[in-house]
Amino acid sequence: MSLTLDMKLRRGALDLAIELEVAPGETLAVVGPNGAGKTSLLQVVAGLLRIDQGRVTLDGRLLDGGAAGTFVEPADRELGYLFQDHRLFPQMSVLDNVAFGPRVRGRSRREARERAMAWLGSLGLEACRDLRPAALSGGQAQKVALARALAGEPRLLLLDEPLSAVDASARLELRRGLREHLAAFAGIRLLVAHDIEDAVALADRIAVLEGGRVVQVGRVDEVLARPASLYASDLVGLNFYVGRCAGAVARVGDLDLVTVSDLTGDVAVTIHPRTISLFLERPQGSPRNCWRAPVIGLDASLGRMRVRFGGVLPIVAEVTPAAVRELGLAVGRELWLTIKATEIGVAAR
Amino acid sequence: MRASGRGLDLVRRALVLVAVAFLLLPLLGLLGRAPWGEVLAAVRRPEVVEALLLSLRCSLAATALAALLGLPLAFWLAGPGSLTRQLVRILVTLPMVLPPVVSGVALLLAFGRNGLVGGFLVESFGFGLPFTSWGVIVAECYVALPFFVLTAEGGLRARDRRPEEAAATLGARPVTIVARITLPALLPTLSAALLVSWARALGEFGATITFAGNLAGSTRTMPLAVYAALETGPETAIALSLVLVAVSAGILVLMRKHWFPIR
Repeated sequence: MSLTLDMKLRRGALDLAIELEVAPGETLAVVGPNGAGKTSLLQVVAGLLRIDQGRVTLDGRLLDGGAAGTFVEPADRELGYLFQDHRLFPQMSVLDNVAFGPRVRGRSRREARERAMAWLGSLGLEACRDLRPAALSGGQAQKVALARALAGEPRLLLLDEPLSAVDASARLELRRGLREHLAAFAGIRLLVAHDIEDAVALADRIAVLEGGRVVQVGRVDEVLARPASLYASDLVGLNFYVGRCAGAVARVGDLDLVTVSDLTGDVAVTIHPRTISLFLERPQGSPRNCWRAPVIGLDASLGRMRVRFGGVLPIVAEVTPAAVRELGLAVGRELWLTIKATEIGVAAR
Repeated sequence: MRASGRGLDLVRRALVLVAVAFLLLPLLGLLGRAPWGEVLAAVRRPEVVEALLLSLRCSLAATALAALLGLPLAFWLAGPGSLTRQLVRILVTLPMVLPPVVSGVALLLAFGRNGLVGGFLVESFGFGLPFTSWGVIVAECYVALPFFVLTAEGGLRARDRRPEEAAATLGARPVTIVARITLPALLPTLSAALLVSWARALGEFGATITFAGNLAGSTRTMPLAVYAALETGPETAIALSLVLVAVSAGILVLMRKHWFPIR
């Protein structure tokens, strides 16, 4: 059981060309900047948006074969869709909302209600069964929406930024609840995440979408450690450069960095801010990546200090507040920076 | 600036007063001239009761027919824009713009005994619409349909489609989506559409008298009875008018929560 996409779609400003495979029992998180086409990707899988060319298949069953080809209606795709804005039916009670899926998929009224009660129970929402959606808090509404999506026994679960409309206090709890239910759900999970924390907490793999294209896909730790795009790098706070590599030497900006790569050609170079060492005097020995640069900014974040440098290679280093005092860090001060060759990430572009 | 702002405000208030007075004065005239002693007697007269009941029956039947025919039409018109839809929309709007007498003549030419379809109806089934209560219903429906369709279409176009998408992902088929999601959400709009088309049907005069005639008991509805009474005795016409005003206003007051929800 797997979901595969190999599709093209153009609608106005939207331009999607995506190849992607989601394996059975896995959660794939799609991350990317606003307007990258993340929600459109989910709509394509759900059948709310038709593709122009290509194929969308689930377990070898063709769901969408492009213009004039096969098209399976959303109702026949056996999916559960958790929308960003819960989209509960305002005129129905919470119980009827959750029972809607099983009911329209052929269960008797009683069975549908029993299933709905079971789901509400597992999410701790029995007390809300007779309420209208308008009476629920944001977190409760999103939980009810999750129960509604799961109650129809889907084989494929689509989640569109399920935590973004929920306030911060309810967020952690809802994320925990989501993680448990995603783990218990045997089918395929496709999650659009705006926040890298959601992706890290909920997903097995990450696909980075930019401008309607998948620019990187891999295990969560791989993508975090070696982001292949500016967006992914910003997400995780890494220094990211595009340069050229010839053997072990990568040229980025006006600087040659010695790396352990053996690539040739265009490369993405990542340097974690914590792997940069700072010195007042030129360090002893002969570190191979060593240069002098002025401090152009200091930002405190999460108990660490992020030091921004100008000069030949704009870069951010992260140090402890103690180091700030020892080094007498201040804007305008010139320091020596060193990076070990083994700490520099290099990936082909 | 300040002074002209105040001047505009005065003009605005004056216009509101004029508008309210314009709507109120005819009613006051009716009430002032009413032969109060005669009103109660008039209401009890069998031909008045007959006309009133006929009016209510026919206008409600016409409204129901307009809803039955108009709802699917409104759904279709609310679809993506096309030339066919634009042409049909013009066709739907036409009875709203035409003088009702012209509508009556047109109905006669289509459904009259010698009309396009009417002749066939008479020959095949021995059934003629003109000069029957069915004819009244058809005439009222013809003029009321545009009000229903255009009001419903407006609501359908402006509706939030997101719950419908959600329902589709949950496995609901189009018919289920319409019945359980679209129509319940559209209830206020549909009430308004029913109200305006019913009001139009109840007040119908021109098309009715032209197409269905003015036969006491079968086609003489209240507006026709008022007109007929005006010829013989204005006092009776005023009394009948008051009855019509009372019935209409009473229904509006009873249904106000349903039809004019305060947001």
